[in-house]
Amino acid sequence: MNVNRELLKGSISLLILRLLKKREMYGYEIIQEAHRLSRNTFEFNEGTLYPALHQLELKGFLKAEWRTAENGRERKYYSLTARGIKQADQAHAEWKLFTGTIDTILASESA
Amino acid sequence: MEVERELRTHLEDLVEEAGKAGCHAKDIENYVQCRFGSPQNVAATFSGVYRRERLLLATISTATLGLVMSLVGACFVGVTQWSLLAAFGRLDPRAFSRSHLLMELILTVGTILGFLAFYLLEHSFVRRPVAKAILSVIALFLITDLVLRIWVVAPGGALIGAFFCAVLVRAAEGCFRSRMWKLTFTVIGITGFGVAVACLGRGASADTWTLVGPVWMSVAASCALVAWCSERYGPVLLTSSPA
Repeated sequence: MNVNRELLKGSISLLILRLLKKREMYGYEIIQEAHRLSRNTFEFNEGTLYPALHQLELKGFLKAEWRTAENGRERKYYSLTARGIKQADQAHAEWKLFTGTIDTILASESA
Repeated sequence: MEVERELRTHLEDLVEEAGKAGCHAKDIENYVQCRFGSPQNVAATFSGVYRRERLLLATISTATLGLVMSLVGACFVGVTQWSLLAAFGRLDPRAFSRSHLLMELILTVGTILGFLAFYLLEHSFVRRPVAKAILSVIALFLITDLVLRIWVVAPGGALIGAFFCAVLVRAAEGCFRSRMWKLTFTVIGITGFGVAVACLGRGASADTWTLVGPVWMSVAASCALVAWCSERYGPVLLTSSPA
């Protein structure tokens, strides 16, 4: 079962921050990692990742660096700033509170 | 542009992945578009990310262009007027009095900035752009009239004349495709307007035609230059991006 893309749109920043908390990655790598960890459940238009990355960079949560790969391809690697690490933890805590509340309501309705 | 470099790299990675997955060459484009999404959607989302920066850049660029054009236009008209008066031996001090020069400045600069405002506002509105641009420019002129009355001097007919000339230039840009026809209409329209106003004020005479006519032609030439610059540089200003 695939997840509704509108649900995914709202949580893309959180996904990016949490993935980059593990290690720095470039855009295509972030997509690959999200696919792998979600066991291919999450599929979203990959082009929409980049506006989200740039938005987070503008807000000061990410920093970026261009590097040349072995195949000669230039890649822009993103990593979290100190503010980004705090924001990642805060966003995760908010998400847990939100989903916990929703689960509680849904559980009470089915009881 | 950095964004272009980044997206190109991603697309190259996708093409490579599609090739490794065994896609045929003709299917790769569909595969990539399916994974990457519509370029229009991506562009629209990006324009939202950098909206504030683009707006700031467009505002600064437009203000600079407006200032430069106003200075060039005012100087051109002033030099033309002085040269004509000197050539005809009519260097009357009243022609260079503070109030007269101020009115001339309001007229020339008001026309140039009025036309620029028309151009930019029309391209900023999506629905009914012409009607909204006209109403916005009228509002801007009314506000300018109020500010001038309070802080400088009552502009009298100068601002009305500037509005009318700006409308004429806008009409020339809208009605004709050829630059030559636009220029002809602008010059004839604005010169005719100026001479008609002068004739009403002072009466039709050889002086009116020989002195006033060329001055108004210089105003018209300045306006035609502004219109050309807007056509040439306007799209760059309106779509400028810092990324």
